[in-house]
Amino acid sequence: MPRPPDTAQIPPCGADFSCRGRLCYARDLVDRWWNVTLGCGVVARCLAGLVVLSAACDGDAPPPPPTAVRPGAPEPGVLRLAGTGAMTPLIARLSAAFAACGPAHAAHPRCGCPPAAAAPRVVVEDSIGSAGGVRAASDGAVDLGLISRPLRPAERLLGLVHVPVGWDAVVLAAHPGVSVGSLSMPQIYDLYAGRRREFPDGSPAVVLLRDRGESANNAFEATWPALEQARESAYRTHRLRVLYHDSAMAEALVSTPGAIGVFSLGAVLTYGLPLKVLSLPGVQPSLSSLRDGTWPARRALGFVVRPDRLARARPFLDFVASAEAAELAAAGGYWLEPGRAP
Amino acid sequence: MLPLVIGCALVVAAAAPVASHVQRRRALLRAARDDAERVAVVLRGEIDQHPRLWRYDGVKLAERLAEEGLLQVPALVLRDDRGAEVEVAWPRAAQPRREADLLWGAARVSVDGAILATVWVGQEVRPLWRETAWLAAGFAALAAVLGAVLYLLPMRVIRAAEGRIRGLMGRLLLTLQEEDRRRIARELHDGVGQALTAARLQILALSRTTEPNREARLRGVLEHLDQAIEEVRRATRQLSVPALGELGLAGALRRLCETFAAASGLEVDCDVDLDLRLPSALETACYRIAQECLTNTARHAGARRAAVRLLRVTADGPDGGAVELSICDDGVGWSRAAASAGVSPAATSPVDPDAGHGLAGIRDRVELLGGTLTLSAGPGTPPRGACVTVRLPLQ
Repeated sequence: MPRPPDTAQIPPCGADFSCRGRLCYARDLVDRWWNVTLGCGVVARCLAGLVVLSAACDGDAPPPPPTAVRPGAPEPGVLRLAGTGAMTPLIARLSAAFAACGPAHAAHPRCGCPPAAAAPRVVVEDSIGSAGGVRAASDGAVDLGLISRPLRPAERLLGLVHVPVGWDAVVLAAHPGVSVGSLSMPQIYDLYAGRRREFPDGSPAVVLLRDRGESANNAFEATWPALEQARESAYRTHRLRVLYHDSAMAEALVSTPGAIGVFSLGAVLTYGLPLKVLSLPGVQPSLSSLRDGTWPARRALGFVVRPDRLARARPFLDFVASAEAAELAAAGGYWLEPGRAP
Repeated sequence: MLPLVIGCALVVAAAAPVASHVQRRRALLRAARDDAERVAVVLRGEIDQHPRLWRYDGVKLAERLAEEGLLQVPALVLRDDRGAEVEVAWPRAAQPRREADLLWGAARVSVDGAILATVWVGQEVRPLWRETAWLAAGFAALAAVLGAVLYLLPMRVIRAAEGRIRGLMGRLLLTLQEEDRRRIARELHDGVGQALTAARLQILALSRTTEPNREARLRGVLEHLDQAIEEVRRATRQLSVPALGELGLAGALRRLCETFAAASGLEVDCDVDLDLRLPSALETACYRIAQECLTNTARHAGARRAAVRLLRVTADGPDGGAVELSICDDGVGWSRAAASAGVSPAATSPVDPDAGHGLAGIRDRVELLGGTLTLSAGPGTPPRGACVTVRLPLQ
């Protein structure tokens, strides 16, 4: 008896040969593809809407690349100086003396400037830091930049002329009410690290920090590197107060009982600040100990100048390199080496 | 239904993440612009204090920005009126990042109408995209669950109801049809058949009178009456299937096979493997389908052999299984156009006006009962002949 074969030879549904009682397979297929197409259309519209909405919430145009700066023109008759505040007391004293050495006093035997020189008026701006002084000198915004540290590798590429001037001792200065006159390095470490909060005599100690970029920190820690770790931990924990300028540090040391912090010996002596300069065991910071190297914490002072401004800065540079200037600086606690002008 | 469900699912999946993304992006932009304004205020103060060298004191600028809580912004760019970078002495921990995927807010510093500096503050948007992606994934999962629930639950209910309705309608229709047929058969038998029989008897009586041509004339009338009676009997048999009630489907099919074999000269094999009584609508449908197929085979296929097979299949299914009825022959087979018209290409007689309704009628019965109809070629290599296979669910 012939058995019905399998359905492999069923003609396509279009001829209406095969019927499942509801929809033909072809109609099912059309409906399925229609559903997929409709769904894809909805998805596409949603994504397009998302893109449009995101674009509508776009921010302002991003910053363009920085432009190269053309150096500014020098001001006639004015020699403008700016940079580290560590040199401000020194330069203020020297510029006053330089002004006194102008044409009105050209015959004075003690002036280091040539009698016939038409000395420009020296203007010292407020502290903008060594880095600021380098950039300002490079841009031509000032004639001489004041620095209290060596030039960094990137700064050396600016093509500036570096004029070393002298040295400044970096000391631990304290509030005049602090009774101790000397601290050992372990005691200083403990104070900075927060392991002790009093001086050896039991009086409270308030450690004041300078900002990270301050050259006084580097000068002090070049000799005592362990202090850097304690200082960094203080920054992270916000445990100690941070001052960002020499003037702010001076004011805080003078006004805060028990205050102690790194500071310039020259600033103390030049301005006659009522601060106590602490010594280390066996070493008293002074100009003589600075010169003979027994006081190791010191920073190099110098100028940076554009080559095209060197000529107009020459009179002042010559004056700074004179013996007269060295004598004036020494009286203020700075050590200048005469004859070092380029 | 499906496009609606897909659309709803997409709306659920996309609406909340998109709205959240847009809202947070706008908040980021607002924060960037606000921070830029605050930096501009700080810069303005520095410019007032140091009109000549404000752009070089990066340390003091950092100090002032730290006091305002502005050192933690992801990116900060300052440019003076020359377009040159204004460097800020950032503390080591707060070094800003400059990346391409920042959302920038800008502010200008102007004094007496002259723009002296421009500030840009950037906010990172990559974390925003990551959070939006996570949110979209969560809502997509929710949308998938909701879509499945929305689609499957009603569809299951709809399909179940549809199946029940179809079954009820099918059975009802077939039952009504059979009721009508039985009623018509009964009326034919009781009415027309009785009248014709009575007329025959009367005429037979008249034929015994003495008119010279009466006998011939009466003989002619008798022949017409016999034909009418036979037609009524045949129609009665066609309208109802008394064998189903007496013998069941298996027995009725075997009798049908025997009757067809005798009447048509076909060799009909009958293989019925059914051990239960089916609902009357199913039995009637199977019988009528077999009857129609054998009629088509006898009229159009030019076959010598035919086979009728009935068996129960998938007995363990949740729906109680189905019955499969197949009628095959070794005739000339199907042709596409002829099959749609219900006519064999080998037919030499004019198109039978009733043949076109044969397959259509079978299809209608099968649809009403929720079954499947398959038309295929007969067995053998190459295949010859035709097969009609019907599968009807028991429930």
